[in-house]
Amino acid sequence: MEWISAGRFAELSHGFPGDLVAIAPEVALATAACAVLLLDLGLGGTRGRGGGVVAALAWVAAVVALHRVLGAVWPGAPLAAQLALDLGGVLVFGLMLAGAPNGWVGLVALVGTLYALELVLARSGDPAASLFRAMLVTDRFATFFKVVLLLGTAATILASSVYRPMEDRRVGEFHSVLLLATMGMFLMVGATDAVMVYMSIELVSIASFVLVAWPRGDRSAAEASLKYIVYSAVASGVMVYGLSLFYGMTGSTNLADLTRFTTRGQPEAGVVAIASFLVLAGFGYKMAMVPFHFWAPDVYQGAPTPVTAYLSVTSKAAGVAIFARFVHAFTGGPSGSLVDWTQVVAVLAALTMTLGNLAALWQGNLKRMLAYSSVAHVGYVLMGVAAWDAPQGAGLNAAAFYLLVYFLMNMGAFAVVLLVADQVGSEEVETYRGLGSRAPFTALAMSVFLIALIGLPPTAGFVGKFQLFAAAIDHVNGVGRHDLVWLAVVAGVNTAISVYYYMRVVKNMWLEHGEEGVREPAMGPPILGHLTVLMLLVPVLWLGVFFGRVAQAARSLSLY
Amino acid sequence: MLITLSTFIPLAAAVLVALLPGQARRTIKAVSLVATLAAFLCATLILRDYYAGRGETLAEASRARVEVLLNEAVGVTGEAGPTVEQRERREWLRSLVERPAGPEGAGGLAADESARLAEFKAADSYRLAREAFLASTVEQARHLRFTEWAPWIAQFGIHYLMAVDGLSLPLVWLTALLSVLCVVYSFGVTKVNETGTKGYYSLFLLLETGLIGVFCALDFFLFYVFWEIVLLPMYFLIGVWGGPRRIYAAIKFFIYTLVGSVLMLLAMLAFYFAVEPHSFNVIALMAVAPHFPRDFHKWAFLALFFAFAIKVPIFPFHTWLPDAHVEAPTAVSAVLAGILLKMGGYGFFRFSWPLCPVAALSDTWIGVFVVLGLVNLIYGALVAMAQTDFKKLVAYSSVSHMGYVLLGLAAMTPAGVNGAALQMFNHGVSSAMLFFVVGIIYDERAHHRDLNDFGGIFQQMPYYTGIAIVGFFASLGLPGLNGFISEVLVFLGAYEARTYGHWVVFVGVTGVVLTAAYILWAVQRVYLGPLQDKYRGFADIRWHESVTLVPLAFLCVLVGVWPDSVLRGMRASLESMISMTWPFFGS
Repeated sequence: MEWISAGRFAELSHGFPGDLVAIAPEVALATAACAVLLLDLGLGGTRGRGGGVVAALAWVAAVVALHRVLGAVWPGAPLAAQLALDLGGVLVFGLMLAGAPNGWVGLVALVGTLYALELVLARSGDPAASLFRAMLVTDRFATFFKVVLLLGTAATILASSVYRPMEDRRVGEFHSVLLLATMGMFLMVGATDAVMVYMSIELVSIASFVLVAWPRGDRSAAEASLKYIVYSAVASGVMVYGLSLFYGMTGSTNLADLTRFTTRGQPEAGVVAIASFLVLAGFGYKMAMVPFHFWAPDVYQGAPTPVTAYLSVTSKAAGVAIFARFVHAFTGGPSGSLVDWTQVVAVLAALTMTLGNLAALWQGNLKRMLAYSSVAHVGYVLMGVAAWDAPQGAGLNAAAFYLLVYFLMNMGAFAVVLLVADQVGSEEVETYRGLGSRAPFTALAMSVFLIALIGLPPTAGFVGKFQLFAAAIDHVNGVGRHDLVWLAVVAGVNTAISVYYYMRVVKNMWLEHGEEGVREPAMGPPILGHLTVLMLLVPVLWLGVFFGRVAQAARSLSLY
Repeated sequence: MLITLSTFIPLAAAVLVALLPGQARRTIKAVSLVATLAAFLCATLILRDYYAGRGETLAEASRARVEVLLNEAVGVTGEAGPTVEQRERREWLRSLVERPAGPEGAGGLAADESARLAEFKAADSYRLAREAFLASTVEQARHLRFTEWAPWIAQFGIHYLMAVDGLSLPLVWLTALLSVLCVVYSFGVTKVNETGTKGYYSLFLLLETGLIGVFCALDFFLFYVFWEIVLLPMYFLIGVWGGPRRIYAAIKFFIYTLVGSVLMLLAMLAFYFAVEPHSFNVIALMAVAPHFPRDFHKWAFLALFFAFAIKVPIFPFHTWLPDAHVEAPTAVSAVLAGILLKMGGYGFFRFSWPLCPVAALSDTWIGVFVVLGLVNLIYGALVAMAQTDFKKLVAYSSVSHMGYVLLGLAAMTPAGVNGAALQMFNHGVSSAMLFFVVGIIYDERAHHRDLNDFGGIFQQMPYYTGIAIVGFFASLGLPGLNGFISEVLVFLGAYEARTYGHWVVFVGVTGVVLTAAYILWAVQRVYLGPLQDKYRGFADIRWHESVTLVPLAFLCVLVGVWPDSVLRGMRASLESMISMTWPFFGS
C-alpha cells in the first residue's frame, strides 16, 4: 500500500480549504436550505413551543444578519442609521412572524439569505480567484450579480410571506427550493467550465420547475411547469450538444481553453460558430431571449406571483451573467471569430426587445404583459452585452447595473400585482380601473414602477437605460466605426412603443373610474405588503437622482 | 440662488400639497398660490437684476472655476502661496487646459501628457477645468448670468448647471407668471374643485418646476431630466381633468413627445462621447461642436430636429396639438400653448443652431425650415378658419403663429432672430390669454364651444369682451399690440435674409391676412350680433377671472408700445448666437 506523500496530497487537494472559504456564501445558502427543510419537518404545521422558540431565535438572527449586512455595505455607519435599520428589521421581521403561523419558516430562509449577502459583501474587495481547478471564479462581475440575486431572493421571501395561497402549505419546502435555486444561480454567474455551466443551469431549472408548480391542484401552474420542463429539456439538450462539440475540438471543458482555441484563428471556425450558437440556445432560454422566449409568458402567467417575480429577476440576471462570460470567451480577440458576435448579439437584442414589446401591447393579463415586458427588457440588457467591449467596459457594467435596477422596478411591479390580486382576486389590467382612488399608495407605487420600466427620469429605470444607450453609442468596432448606434435607435423606438402598454395600466388606475355606482371599499392595509413595496419604491426613486455611487460600484466589474 | 429657488419652490410645494389631506382644499390652494407667487417673485428679481447688468456671467464663473480647479489640482490652499514646484505644475496643467478647441475634439491628450496627468492625480481636475475653460470661451457665455454650478453625478461628469440669458429669461418669467395666473384661474373651475384637487395642484406645481428647469438648465443631462419631468404631470393633467376625449389626447401627447425625446437622448449621448474629455456642459460643447465632422452635424441635427419639431409643433408633427389643447383643462391648455410649445423653439435656439451650425445653416435645412414654416403659417391659419370649435380654433392659431418663429430663425438676421424669439414670448402671452378667454365662457357658463351657437356675448358681458378683444387683436397682429412687433420684425428679417429669397416674405404675408380673417370672424360670431336668450343669465367676468386676464392684456399693450422692454435683454444673447453660427452659412 502506497502512502500518498504530503506534497502529492497538497497537489490533489489543491487549494481546497481556501476554495471552500471562497464559496462560503454558497455553503451558507445550502445550509440554510437544509435548515429550513429540517426545521419545517420537525416543527411544521404546529405552532407548538418548538415553533415559538425557533421563531424568536430566527427573529433575533435576522435582525443581527441585517445589521451585519449594513456593516459590510457601509462600514462606520452612524449609530442613528444602524438603529433605524435594526428597528426596521425588528418591525418587518415581526410582521412576517405575525402574518402567518408559519412565518418563521420564511424568516429562517431570510436569515440564510442575509447571511450569504453579508459574506458576499465582505469578500467583495478580494482579488478575483479561480476555484476548484478552474470550475468557478469569484470576480467582481460575479460578486455584483450575486448581490442582485440575493436581494431578489430576499424580496421574494418577503413577497411570498404576504402571498395568501402560500400560507400553511409546505412553506418549508418552498423556501428550501428557493434557496437552492439561488445557490444554483450563484454557481451560474461564476461558472467557467462547461460541466459547471451545465450542472448549475440544471440545478436552477429543476428548482424552478418545482417552484412554478407550487400550488398543488392549480392546473395552470402545473401546465406552466410542464411547458417549462419541455422547453428546458430541449434547450439544455441543444446546449450540451454545443458544449460537447467544444470538448471535441479542444479536449477540455474549460472556458479559458476555449477562449485560447477561438482566438487562435482556426480552420474549424465554422464548427466553432455552430457550437457557439448551440450553446447560445441554452443561455437564451434561461434569459427568455427571442427566439427562445416562448415559455416565458405561459410560465410567468401560470406560476404563483412571487415565483414569477423571482424568476423574471434572478433567473434572467444569472442567464445574462453566464451569457456575457461566454460572449467574452467566444469573441476573445479581434481576429479569432468567424462570426461578428457584437452584431449577432445586437440583432438578437433588437429582435428580443421588439418582439417582446409588440407582444406586450395586446395583453390583457398584467402578469402576462409583464412577462412580455421582461422579454423586452432582456433585449435592452443584451444591448450592454453586445457592447461588452465598449471603452472602459461600459457595456457589461451598464448591463449589470440595469439588472439591479430591473430587479427593483420589476419586483416592485409584481409585488403590487400580488397585493391587488390578493384584494380583488384578479390580475387583469381592467381590474386596475380606478385603483388610484381606492388604494392611492399602491397605485402611486405601481405608477412609479411602470414609469421606471418605461425608462423615464427621475427614476432608476432611466439611469439604467441611459447607461445602456451610452454604451451602445460609444461602442466602436475594429475599424473605428460606431457600429451599435442603430441598436440604440431601435431601443429608443422600442421605448416609445412600450409607453403604450405601461401607460395603459397607469391610465386605468388614475384616468378611468371603476364601475358606475359601485364603489369598492378602500383596500385594507396589508402592512407588510406595503412595506415591501415601499422598500423597492424608495431605491427606484433614489437611484434615479443619486446613482453615482452604485453606478461606480457597477463600473469596475472585470471578468476573471 | 434665485434660479434654484424659482425652480424648486414649486417642487417643494408640490410635495407639501401631496402630503396634505385631500379635504383641505383651501390650504392646498393657498399653498399653491403662495408657491407660484414666490417663484414669480424670484423670476422677477432675476429679470430686474439681469436688466441692471448684475449677476456673474457664465464666462466669469467658468474662468474663476478654472483657477480654483487648477489650484486644487496642485494642492494650493488659501493663505500659503504656491511653491515653485506647484506653480510650475499648475502652469503646465494650465497649458493643457487652455488649449484652443481643435478638430481633435476638446483637446485629446498625447500619451505622455495623460501619463503625466495620471502621475499628478489630476485627471479629474483636468476634465472639469477643461470643460469650464471651453465654456468660458464661448460668446454666449458672456450673456448667461446667475450661474449656479454644483457637481451632481461626478462619475459621469453630470453637473447641476443653471443660468439664464436674454433668450431664456423672458420664458422663465412668463412661466412663473402664467403659473400664478393658472392657479388663480383654477380656483373657480368646478371640475378641479370637485375631483382630486390635491392631485391637480400638486401636478401643476411639479409641471412648473420642470418648465422653469428646462429653460435654465445648461447641462444636457439636467436639461433632459427637466424635459421629461414636464411630460408626466402634463399627461395626468390632461388625462384626469380633461374633456371627453382626454384619454386619447393624453396618450397621444405622451407618445409623440417621448419619441422625440428619446431621439434627443441619443443625440445628447453622441455629443457627450464626441468630446474628449466627455462632457454634458452645453456651453462647453458649443466651443467644440463646430469642429465635429459634417456627418456628425447632420445626424445630430436630425435627431434634435425631431425632438424639438414635435414640441413646437412643426407640420406634419402637429397632430397631437389640437387634441391635447382641446381636451386639456383651461389652465393646462394655457400652459401648453404658452410655455410647452416654446420648449421646442427654445431648443432650436439653444441647442440645434449652436451645436450643429454646419447642418443648421446648410441649404437643405434652411429650405426645410422655410417650407415647413410657411406651411405652419398658412396651413395652420386655414385649418383654424375651418373650425367651429372655439378652442380648436385657438389651438390651430398656435400652429400658425409658430410658423413665424421658424421663418425668423431661418432668416439668421438680427431682426429675424429677435423677431422669432419675441414671437415666442408674445405668443406665450396672447395664446395663453385666448385659452383663458375661451375657458371663461366654456368652463362655468356656456359649457359648449360651438362658434356658430354663440353671438352677442358683448351685450351680456361687456368687460369680459373688452379684455378678450385685446387678446384677439394681439394675436391678429394689430399695431400697438405685441403680436405686431414680432411679426414685423420677422418679416423685416426675412426680407434682409441671405439664406432665402424675397418670395418667402410675399408668401408669408398671406398668412397675416388669413390670421386676420379667422380671428375677426371668430370675434364676430362670438361677441357681436344679437344676443341669444340662453346667454342672458351670464354673469360678467369674476374677480379671479379678471386677475388672470388683466395682467396678460397689460403685457400685450406694454410690449406693443414698448417692445424694447423685452428686446433689450434678448438682443445681445441672440446676436451672439448669430455670430457663432453664421460663419458656417454655405459651408
